[in-house]
Amino acid sequence: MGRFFYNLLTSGIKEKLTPEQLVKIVSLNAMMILGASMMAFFGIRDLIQEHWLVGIVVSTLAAVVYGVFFFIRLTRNIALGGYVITIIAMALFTYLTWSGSNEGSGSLWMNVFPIIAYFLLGQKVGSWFVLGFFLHQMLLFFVPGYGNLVLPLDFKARLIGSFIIISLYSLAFETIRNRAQTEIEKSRQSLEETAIQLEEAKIRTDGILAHVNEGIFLLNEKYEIEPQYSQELEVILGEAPLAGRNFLDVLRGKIPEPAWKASQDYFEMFFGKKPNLTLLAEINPLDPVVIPNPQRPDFPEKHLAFSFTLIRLEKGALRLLGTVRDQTDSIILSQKLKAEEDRSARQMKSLFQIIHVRSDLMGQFLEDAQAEIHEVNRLLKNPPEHGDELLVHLFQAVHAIKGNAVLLGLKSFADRAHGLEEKIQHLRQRPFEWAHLLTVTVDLSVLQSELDDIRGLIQRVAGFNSQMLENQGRDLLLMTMEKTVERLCQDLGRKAVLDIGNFHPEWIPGELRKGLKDILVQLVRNSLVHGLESEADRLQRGKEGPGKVLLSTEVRGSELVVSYQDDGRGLDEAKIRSKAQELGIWKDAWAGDPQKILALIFQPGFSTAEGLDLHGGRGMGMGLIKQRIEKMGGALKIRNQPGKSLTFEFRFPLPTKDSSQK
Amino acid sequence: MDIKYIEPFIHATKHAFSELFSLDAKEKVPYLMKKDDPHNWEISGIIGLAGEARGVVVISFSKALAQDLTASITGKPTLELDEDVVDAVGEIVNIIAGNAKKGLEDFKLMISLPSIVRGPGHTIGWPSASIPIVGIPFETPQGSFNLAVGLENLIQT
Repeated sequence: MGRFFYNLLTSGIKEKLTPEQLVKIVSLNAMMILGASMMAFFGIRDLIQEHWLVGIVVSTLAAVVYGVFFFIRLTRNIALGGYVITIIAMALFTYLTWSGSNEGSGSLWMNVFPIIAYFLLGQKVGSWFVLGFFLHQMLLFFVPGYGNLVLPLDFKARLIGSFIIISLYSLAFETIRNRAQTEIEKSRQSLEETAIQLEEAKIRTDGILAHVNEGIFLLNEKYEIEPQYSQELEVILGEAPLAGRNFLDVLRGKIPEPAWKASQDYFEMFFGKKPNLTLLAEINPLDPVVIPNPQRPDFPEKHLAFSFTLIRLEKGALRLLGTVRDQTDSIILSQKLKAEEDRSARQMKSLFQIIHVRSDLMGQFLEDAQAEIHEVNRLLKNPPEHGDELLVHLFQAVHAIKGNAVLLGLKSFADRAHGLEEKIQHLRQRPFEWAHLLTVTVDLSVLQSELDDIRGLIQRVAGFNSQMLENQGRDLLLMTMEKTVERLCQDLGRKAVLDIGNFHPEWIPGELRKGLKDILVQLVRNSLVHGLESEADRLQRGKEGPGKVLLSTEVRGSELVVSYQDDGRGLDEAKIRSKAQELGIWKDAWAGDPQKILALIFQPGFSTAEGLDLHGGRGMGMGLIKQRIEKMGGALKIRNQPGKSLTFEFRFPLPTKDSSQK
Repeated sequence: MDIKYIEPFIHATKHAFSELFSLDAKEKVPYLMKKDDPHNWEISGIIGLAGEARGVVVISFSKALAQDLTASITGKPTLELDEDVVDAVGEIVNIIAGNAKKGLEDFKLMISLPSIVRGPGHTIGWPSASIPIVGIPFETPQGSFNLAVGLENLIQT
């Protein structure tokens, strides 16, 4: 039933209407229905009473209004409907006044007009209509002969008075209603905007809380965790969900009892009178705190740091803002660092102690200790029946070693031995288990390896000493050459012998040494890789198996000549020629001139490799060598004896006496 | 070296033998080993360890026992330490390594895939000259074998 009326009154409009529109259309329709029905009633009554003219007019108008009602249902043109109805009303009321029937009582209807006009057409248009209608009514009232109205003057006066009051009141009412409507619309819009902003802000806040890698939470005055907390809190505390739960309950059992009790007192201080926040930050019992970590057996504990501060919400409500960080990783790292530092410190101490022992005593100690261990190990390899006996022997061995260490002042080592001693004693007091033997043996093996370390260390130090004495008389450049030949032979699997009988490196001026060393090393490499033939080949050619490398120095006049010679296959002039032709730099004029041909190998593109080999990242092409020599103020000459030898002769002007080496 | 690193291997070994061969492998008195100690074992499985400790676990068998165990697996006897034996020993050591891995998860240790070395008196390359090595002899009704562990802690106490 209600639906039918709703449909009737909204002209069947199904779309959502604003309150203003709804009110308008409902009242319009209501007015039309009511108005038309009333007019129909009066019209028919007039017709029955044989007031023909009135009856016909009113009935017709009633029919027209019904018509408009349907028209509006069809066209949905509410505005037009408003005009039509107002005009019809105006016409009707004018007529009723004009006809003067029923003792002029029809004119009473004029008071209804302002209400209709203002409501349907609004303040402005309504005012025009009302004014127009009023003026015309005045004409009907006071122009003699115009219209059939007969009314006493005071009656007319009262009509006019009430009409004016109703008009003003309707105008005022409509204005206020309009204003209120706009206000409502504005607030509605602003509410919508605010809601959207809040929504966006919430999305961002949720985003932050979901991803921040600290636990952030609020505690109310009952220490309950409020629903807005960061995801990480659940991860850190290892529990979910946490909303509404008492924070202290969550912590209980996870943190040590004293810390837990202290936390309770701590929170109370925040909610007390005038909390001193700075002081409170310093006495936080939960910074740091350790809780068990059931999910990771290799990290049995989590190290957490909490911090709290007080915040004030609306209406003076207080909350504790808490943040918590998982510091386990950095704690573990710093623990490891400390352990490493301690270890280094201990090693230094040990070394210090070792150095202070007389070397013969040290040697004796090591021998004795080793003997003890050997002895007990023999027993371990051929054990007697009772495991406990073994523990006794182990104890005795460790005890003996410890004693010697103490005598020599090897405190660190003695302490470790002592530790093992005590361990064995403890184990002996319990019923024998195989695992006891294992743990003692393992610790003994560690002790053994420490002895080995000490021995190794001493040997190296001793080695330095004797080497230093040996080397004092020898020249560094020479030793480098020797070492180079030795190493390259090993790396390349070749055999070569270095002849330095005539090599006086002390004649080489200091500023040339490094450069010369680099070059000579490169030449050795070249010889071993390309120059020297395989042992088999050499023997076939009547050479000795191992290649010969000859280094010599000579003073010729004011020049120092440094020669490098190998007795390998030398340079192949034909190959050089064809390579030069390949590179397009060959000149036929050079054909018979060996020096010109050999000089070609200094050209860029002439690699000393015949094929590709990966040897030596520090490949110095011959060109580079020549450049270096020239930079050093020298000259290079090559003497090539194909199949027999290759000689590089470096010549440098000798400096004046005072700048030469020792 | 710590006993906590060794125990998983001991359990894994006993477990493997009882599961695969229904043999009771009994651990005997452990002893100290040195890097280049001579020995008579003919085939060894080597498992590398790295992490907070670094080293090697070596399980060594005599020729006879290796062949017996291979025959148990393949069903046919072998005359010498051929590919079948290598595979079989590899399999056994693999299983031991796999079982031990679980026990070592609590520590920061990683296990490598085992490799097999054979030949009488073969040498094992221990990672460093002074690494502590402990040997644990095992006895089964069908013969004995050796579990050797050489480990040095990287983070020492």
